[in-house]
Amino acid sequence: MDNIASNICSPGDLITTDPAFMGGHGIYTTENNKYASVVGYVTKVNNLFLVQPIKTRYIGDVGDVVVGRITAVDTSRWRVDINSTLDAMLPLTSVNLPGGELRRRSEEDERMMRHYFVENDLISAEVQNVHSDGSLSLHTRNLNYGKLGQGCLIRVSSPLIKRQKVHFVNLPCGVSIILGRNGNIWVTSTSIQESSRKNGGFTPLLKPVSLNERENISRICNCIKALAKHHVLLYDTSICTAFEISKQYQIKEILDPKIAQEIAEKTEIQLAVDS
Amino acid sequence: MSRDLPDETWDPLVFLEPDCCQNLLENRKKNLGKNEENTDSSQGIFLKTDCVNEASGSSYIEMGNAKVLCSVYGPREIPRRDDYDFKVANLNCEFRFASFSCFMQRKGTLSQRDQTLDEKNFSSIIEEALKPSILLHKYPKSQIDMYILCIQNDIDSRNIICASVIAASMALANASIELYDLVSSFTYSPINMTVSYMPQLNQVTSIFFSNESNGAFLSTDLFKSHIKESIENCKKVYSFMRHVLLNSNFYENLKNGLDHEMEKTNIS
Repeated sequence: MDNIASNICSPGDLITTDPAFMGGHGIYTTENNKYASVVGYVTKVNNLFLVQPIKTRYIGDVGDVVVGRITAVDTSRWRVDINSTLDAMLPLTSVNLPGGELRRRSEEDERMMRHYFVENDLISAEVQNVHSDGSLSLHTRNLNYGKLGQGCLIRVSSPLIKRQKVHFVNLPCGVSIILGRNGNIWVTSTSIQESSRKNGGFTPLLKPVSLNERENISRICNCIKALAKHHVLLYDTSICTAFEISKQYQIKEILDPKIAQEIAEKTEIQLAVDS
Repeated sequence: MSRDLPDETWDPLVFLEPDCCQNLLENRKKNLGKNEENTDSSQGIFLKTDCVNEASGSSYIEMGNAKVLCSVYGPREIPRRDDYDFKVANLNCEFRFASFSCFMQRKGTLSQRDQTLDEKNFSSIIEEALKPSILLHKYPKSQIDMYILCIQNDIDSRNIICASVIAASMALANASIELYDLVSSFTYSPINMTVSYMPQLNQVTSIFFSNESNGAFLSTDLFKSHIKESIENCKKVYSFMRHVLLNSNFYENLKNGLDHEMEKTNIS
């Protein structure tokens, strides 16, 4: 409890002895006493205590947008790796098949599964269900979701992605990003994202991307890496601000640790000023 | 020399009455002090976390001459097998000596050779010491892998269990796997006994005597006092472990930047 002033706790620290409080994630209870079970920040919301660790596997919630990789094709579903404790499931019935949404899934559909998604494909999906053991069920019943084609994948720690209303963001520089809540961020150009929406999400668009768009994509990628290294929360405004600040440097210079730190610090100052 | 004893031999002092072996124990202690350095943890410990980028959590420890690197992967999906209990996570611990770590070189790279008998022995001891501290029921159907690599061995491997348990506990905390408490460990040099202890819960998770230890003829009172002394030293090691976990660079960056952001985050 001596760390409650700085809020960081380590496993086994006593949080409270008052039984009126509830314990959330990262807390275990023994005989009315609540102890922390992970290293992280202790936060209190009304009468709920919880400990937020800094790097942790993704813990799913219904309605989250995630970006994941197909690891296996099972009998009537796909297994997706979303950087969580267990692989997520994408059932065949939760995918939009060409030919209308309400069609019953036949045996032929099961045999054709490999034509839609194969191992190592990247997809964006939404969490439909969270099971009791912590595994997730996904769905792609929306033109927004589906196979991802040309672009960059950046993996950051999942607590850094701020929960927003919209996770598909079109930045003003012509770059679209998908902020997966599981820590996977997909960066692509707006033209590619818009075109693949019309196709229905199974065939990635292979049209060439111009040099200007590619430069913007790399700049955004490097900015995200710089922000993630210094634990700045990632959302559309913070990434935009970092992009503007980084314009004075060359794209490859952003990878330099000192410049990355400078960009991250300036971004934080700018965000604090704006809010 | 004592390493080459076959399994069936016994130390002759085992068969003596407890009161006459006290003198012999003193003599042995004096001899040990002359020939070998006292390489227990009073010499100073170096601990660092976040060493391996690819792992969920990792730590590095230097204790006397022993240098151990631990990386933790998980919790992650296990392939479907019937012999696993699916209600709790499966803890898998693999201890290896690097080929350059010991006095006698171990031939072959780690991927070429299977675990030797002493490595398997250490693996199961470390797993036994750490298992009570993890909330395994929170991760059903998954597997937590701990890979412990000894980069430099000390004489007689006396500090290896101790260093490995501390490193593994730090790596588990670094991976944000839910723990009841950190496990700290201490080796009581004169009798080569390693005690692993959880201070907040006040529970001993394991006591280990190696083959070379002279603990076979201790009286119960002496044994109790050795355990108490080891527990006191474990508490000191624990406070150091905690200090390293909470004050790593990771958190210093956060204290400056992320404080207000975390509080504003909507928790639903």
